[in-house]
Amino acid sequence: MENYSALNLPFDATPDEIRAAYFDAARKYHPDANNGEDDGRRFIEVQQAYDILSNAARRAAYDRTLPVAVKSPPEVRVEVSFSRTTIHQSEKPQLIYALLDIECLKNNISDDLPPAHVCIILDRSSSMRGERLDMVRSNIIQLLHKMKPTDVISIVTFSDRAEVLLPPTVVADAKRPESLLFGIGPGGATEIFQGLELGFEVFRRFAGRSNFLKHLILITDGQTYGDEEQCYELAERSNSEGISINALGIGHEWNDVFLDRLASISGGKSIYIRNKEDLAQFIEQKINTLSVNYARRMEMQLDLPNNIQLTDAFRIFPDGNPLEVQSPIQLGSLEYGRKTGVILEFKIDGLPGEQSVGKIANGRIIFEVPTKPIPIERLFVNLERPITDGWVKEKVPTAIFNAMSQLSLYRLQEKAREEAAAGDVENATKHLKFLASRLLIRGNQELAQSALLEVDRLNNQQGFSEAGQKDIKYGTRSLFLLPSPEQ
Amino acid sequence: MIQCPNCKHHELPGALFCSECGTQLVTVDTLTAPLANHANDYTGLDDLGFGLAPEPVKERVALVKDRVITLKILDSDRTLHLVGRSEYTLGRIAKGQPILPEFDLSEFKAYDYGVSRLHAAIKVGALRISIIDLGSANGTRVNGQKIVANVEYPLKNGDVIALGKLKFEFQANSD
Repeated sequence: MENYSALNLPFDATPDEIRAAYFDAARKYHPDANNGEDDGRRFIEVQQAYDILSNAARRAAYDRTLPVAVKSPPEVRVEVSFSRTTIHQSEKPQLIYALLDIECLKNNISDDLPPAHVCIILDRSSSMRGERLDMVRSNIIQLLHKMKPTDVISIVTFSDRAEVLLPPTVVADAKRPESLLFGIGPGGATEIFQGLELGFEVFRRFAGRSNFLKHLILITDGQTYGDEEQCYELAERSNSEGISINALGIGHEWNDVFLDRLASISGGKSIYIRNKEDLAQFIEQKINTLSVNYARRMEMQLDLPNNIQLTDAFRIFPDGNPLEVQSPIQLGSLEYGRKTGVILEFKIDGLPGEQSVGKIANGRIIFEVPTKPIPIERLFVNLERPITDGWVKEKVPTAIFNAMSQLSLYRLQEKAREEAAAGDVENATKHLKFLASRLLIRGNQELAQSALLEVDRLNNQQGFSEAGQKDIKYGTRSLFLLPSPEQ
Repeated sequence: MIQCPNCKHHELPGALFCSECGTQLVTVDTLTAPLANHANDYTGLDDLGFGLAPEPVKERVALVKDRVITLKILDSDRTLHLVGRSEYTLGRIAKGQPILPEFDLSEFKAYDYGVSRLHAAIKVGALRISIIDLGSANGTRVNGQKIVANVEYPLKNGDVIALGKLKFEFQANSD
C-alpha cells in the first residue's frame, strides 16, 4: 500500500501530523486492540509507512518515486467570513459567527471516476405494508433505470432480522428487480442495527474492484429500540471507510433524533419522506450526485483555545443539516464545481489581556479525493480576528445574516421540542408562538399553521404530535433551500 | 449583554437574532438584502454600540424606539399610538386564539369590519416604516389599493390603511 494513504495523510503532511497519524493508526490496528480481519496486515503497513515518512531522507527518496500528479495544488478553496471584523476587548462573554465556503474549483467531472455501489437497506416491518412499500418499490425501480450500466446495486431487507434480497449486481445484469421487490413479505419489528450491519457485510464481501463509490441508503418508518449505540458505532466505522449513510424516514413514527445523529456521524443526511413526491425527489437528486462527488469524508478538525467554545455548527449549503457540535465535524462530500457552506457559532469567554489578535480556532479541513494517487488532502483554516477596544459599527455580511435568520427559527423549534419533552408546556408554547409569528412575517403560512396546531395540542395536554413535530423540524430546515437573495 | 427589543430577553453581545423569539438584533444593508423580511430594521441597539446602520442614516432618522406612530381611526375620533418597538401586529383577540396581536382592535368593532385575528404587522425600520398583510381573510388596502399578503409595503404620512373595512390614517413623527 502507498505509504501516505496507509497513514491517512496528505502528501504535504508536516512531521507533527505524521507522528499524530501514526499513533492514531497504530492504536486502531494494534493486535491487542482490534479484531478486524485486515487489522494485522494494516498494522504492519502502518509501521512500514511510519518508518519511511518519519525520516526526512527516506521520505524524500520515497517522494521521488511518486507520480508528479501528487504535487498538484488542491482544487478546493476555503473562504471564511465572520459576522464581525473584530473581537471586542472584554472580560464578558461574546458571540462570533464564522461562515466557511468550501468550494470545489474543478468543474468537469473526471472520466476515470469509479462506478457507484448503492446498497439499499429497507425496513420490511409490518408497518411498511401497503402504500409505503409500494412507493419504495416503484422508486427503487426508477433508481435502477437511471443508474449507469456499470454501477452496482444491492438490497438488504430487515425487520427483527436481516436478509440479502439482492446481492451486489451490476445494473446491466439486474434484469427482473420487480419480481424480487414484490416478493418482500412485510412483517416483524424494526431493528435498524440488523439491517445496517448486514449492509456493511455486503459491502465488505463485495470487495472485488474495491474502489467503488459506496452509497448506503437506509429506508425506515419506525423506531429502533436498544441498538442505537451499536448503530452509532457502525456509523463511525462507516464514515472512516468513506461510506456516508442517507437515512430516509417515511411517515411520522420514526425516531428523527436517532436518524439525524446516525446520518450526521457518518457524514450523510436524514430526510423526511411525507409522500411519493418526496421520495421521487430524493431519488432524482441522488442519481444526479451518485458519481459527481469530487471529495468525500470531508471533516473539519478544530483546535480551540481554552476561552473559546464551539456552540453550534450547521451546514447551510447544499442543504440545511445540523452538524455534530464537536471536533472533528463531519461535513459530508463535495461535488464537482459546487460549494459546501458551514456556519459555526463560537462563544468567547473573556479575553486574556494585552493581545492584538484573538485566536478563535486552528482548523484543518481534511477530505479524500478518490481520483488522486494520494487521496487525502488537507487545508489549514485559521480563524482569528483583530481585537479592538470598542464595538465597531459595521454591517453583518448578508450570507451570515440570512443563514442565522433561518437558523434562529430552527433553534426556536428545537427549544420548543426540548421543553415539550421535559413537560414544560408554558415555555414550549411560548416558543412555538414566537416561531409562528416569525414564520408568518416571512410568509411561511403553512409551517406557521403547523406550529399553531402544536400549540393547541400542547395546551390541551396532548403533547407534540409526531407529524407536526417533523413537519416543523424539517420544514424549518428546508428554509435553507430557498433561493438566497444573493443569486 | 444586549436586550431584545421585542421580548426583552438578554443575549450575548455579538448575537444576531434573539434566541427567545427570533427577532433580528442587528441591521443589514437594504441594498444587499432585497428580501422583504430582511429590510432595514433599526432596533435601537445603537446606544450599546450595536447600531450598524451607516452614519448618514443615523443623522436623518430617529431611533426606532423613539419613533411614535399614530393611527387615527377614521370613523371615530380615536387614535392609537404605537411606541417603543420595531414591530407591531394588529388584529382582534378572540377566544382560544394562540397568537395574540399586540394591538387588539375589538373595541373598534373589528369583527364587524372584517378584521382578521392576526391581520397585519407594522414594521419600523431606519429608512422606512412598512405594513405587511399577514394573510388576512379580507385583505389590507393602502390608499384604496389592495396590497399583496406577506410583502412589505412602505408607508408615508397621510396614507389611509384599511384592514378589511376598518380605516386608519397613518402618521409618524420623523425626528
